[in-house]
Amino acid sequence: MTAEPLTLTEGGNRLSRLSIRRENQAYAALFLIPTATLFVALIGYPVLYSLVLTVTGRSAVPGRLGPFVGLDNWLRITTDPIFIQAAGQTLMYVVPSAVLGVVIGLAVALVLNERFRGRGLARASLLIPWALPPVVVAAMFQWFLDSRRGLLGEWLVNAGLVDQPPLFLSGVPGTLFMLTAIHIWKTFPLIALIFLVALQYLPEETINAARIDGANRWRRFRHVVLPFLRPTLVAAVIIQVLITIQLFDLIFALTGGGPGRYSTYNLYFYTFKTTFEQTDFGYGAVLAYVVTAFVVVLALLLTRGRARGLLS
Amino acid sequence: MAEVRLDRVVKRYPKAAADALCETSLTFEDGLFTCVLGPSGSGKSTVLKLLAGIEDVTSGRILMDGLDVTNVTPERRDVAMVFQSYGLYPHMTARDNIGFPLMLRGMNKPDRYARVGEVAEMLGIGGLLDRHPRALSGGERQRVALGRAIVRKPKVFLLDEPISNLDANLRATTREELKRIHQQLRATFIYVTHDQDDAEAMGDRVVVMARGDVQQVDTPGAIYRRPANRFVASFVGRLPMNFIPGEIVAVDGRARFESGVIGVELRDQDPPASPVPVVLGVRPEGVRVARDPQPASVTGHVTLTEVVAPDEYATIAVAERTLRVRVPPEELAVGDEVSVTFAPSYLLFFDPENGERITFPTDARTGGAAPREAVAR
Repeated sequence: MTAEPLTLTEGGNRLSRLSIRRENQAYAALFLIPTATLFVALIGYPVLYSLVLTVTGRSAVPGRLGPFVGLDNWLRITTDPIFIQAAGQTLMYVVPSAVLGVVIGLAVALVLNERFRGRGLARASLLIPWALPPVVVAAMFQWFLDSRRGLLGEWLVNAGLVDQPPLFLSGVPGTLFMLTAIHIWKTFPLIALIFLVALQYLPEETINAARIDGANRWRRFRHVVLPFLRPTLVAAVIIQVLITIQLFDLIFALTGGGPGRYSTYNLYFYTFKTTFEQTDFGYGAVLAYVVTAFVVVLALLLTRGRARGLLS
Repeated sequence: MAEVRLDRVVKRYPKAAADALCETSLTFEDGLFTCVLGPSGSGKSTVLKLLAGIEDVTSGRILMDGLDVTNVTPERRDVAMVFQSYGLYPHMTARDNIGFPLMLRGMNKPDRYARVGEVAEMLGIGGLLDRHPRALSGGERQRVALGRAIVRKPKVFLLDEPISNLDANLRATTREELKRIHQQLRATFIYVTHDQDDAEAMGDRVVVMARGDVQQVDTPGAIYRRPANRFVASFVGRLPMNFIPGEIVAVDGRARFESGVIGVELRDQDPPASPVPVVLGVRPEGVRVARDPQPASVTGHVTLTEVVAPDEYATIAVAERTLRVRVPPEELAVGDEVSVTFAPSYLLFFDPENGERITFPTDARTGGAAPREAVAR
């Protein structure tokens, strides 16, 4: 007597559970439509279109695809001296930025993590370089580094280090390093902030334990703080590399790629020049794919590393 | 080995309304296990941080074996500390955690690991040395933290509620072990806790603190039986002490405590010339109940019974008061009528104004003596 209704109820439950699940999936699909539409329109279509562009030549009619040229554009990068130069110079931007930017950022974070009077103000003003619009930074440094009226030149002359204000933005490869320095100045606050956040998660007890165990300031840094920050350090390096690969505005505003024709080009800037100034959309698209490949690999490293608990 | 002394130490945090530690002079005797007991905010952890040197005193001196260490940094004081959440180094194995203080002292790896092995055996964690802290249970982490403290053979051990994160069973066994380790090392142990069971089980001495002030320093038994004031009386003890405001009067040339229907003859006390207002304090075991009416007892009703194994306690309403009383197990039920008498040797008197315990000239004769039934009205 009791068994039958029980079975019925169970069957009914299973049925309704199934239908609820189907209904949920329908709702999920419904809610996904707006985002999916945007994704296809804004990312999917351009990616596919640019892939098509890589196999076309120059177009005679603006707005139309050029003739089909096969893999010519792709093969061109292997022999293009400017591509090779720009790739090398990208490294010249990236390596010092990653090393110095991260070291400076870490050092600043450690200082700002100490208790001192005015720490709040110092922490707030840390972000100024990072918050400034790139154009403002560029204009500021253009004045600062001007060879005739620039402040830095005047300082150096007054200090007796040089007779004439040096030409900061005229040397090769000095200009590239000057741009790198400005880039580091602009990005170190972000790196410092990342470290500062991580340091908040270092338990005070652990540091106090190290003090009582007999570790002086250096030993505490070397044996406790630095190992604790290692995952953050890896993340900070990857982020800084990502940002630096995409360095564009400073080059555009301060040197336009010169002095000479290409001495401060990086791949990103070369892509821009090729695509929009020489209107070689096919080759520009290939360059864009190369840059994107680097960025995607780094981004994967970052996210996969986090998923595996290497970073966090 | 070392005697540790606070000499008129004051600790004030900037912007704090009250001193974290009021002017305090306190001696931790050489080789003794001293428990600093108090509720949160009592200043007990402040004492420990000052002794470790991770906080600076506002004024006063800290002496270890007579040497002024007030301005010595933590890394140069010969103290070891076990923290409440252990403060282990997350990226090091248990072996390297324990060996860290030795590494800092320049001991080479073979010697270091040999010494770590000895300590680990002593603590029963020999098999866990290759694990990182995150792969250890709370009790195991606690042992690693303890090992890190023991390994360098310091003169003074500071322990900041090191077992409060463990479950009850583990706490009991760890107390025994800590006591055993203390007896083995014979170092000065200073153990901060809010748990009176810790103090009772391990303390040679107990320092009771409240609101940044030392309330009493004594043995655990004396703290329980002869609390210095109402705060200590109510803070120490598994169940709250009963407090009955009233006065001591002279009746027929004898001293009596009177409070409404409750009256107790105080045989061992001289009668006062004029009534003395007091608060009577009596622990649950100092009140006797019987089912049958006793001569000159007061009558009450059982309103609640609770088991705090192995004992049983009842809340008894006497007139408008309620008394918490220890009763024979499984004899009374809610609603029962009982007669209540007081055991004079358990009676304590406190000043109603400042809460200090009042000792009468003849008090010494009664304190801790065998209970004799007092005559209640």
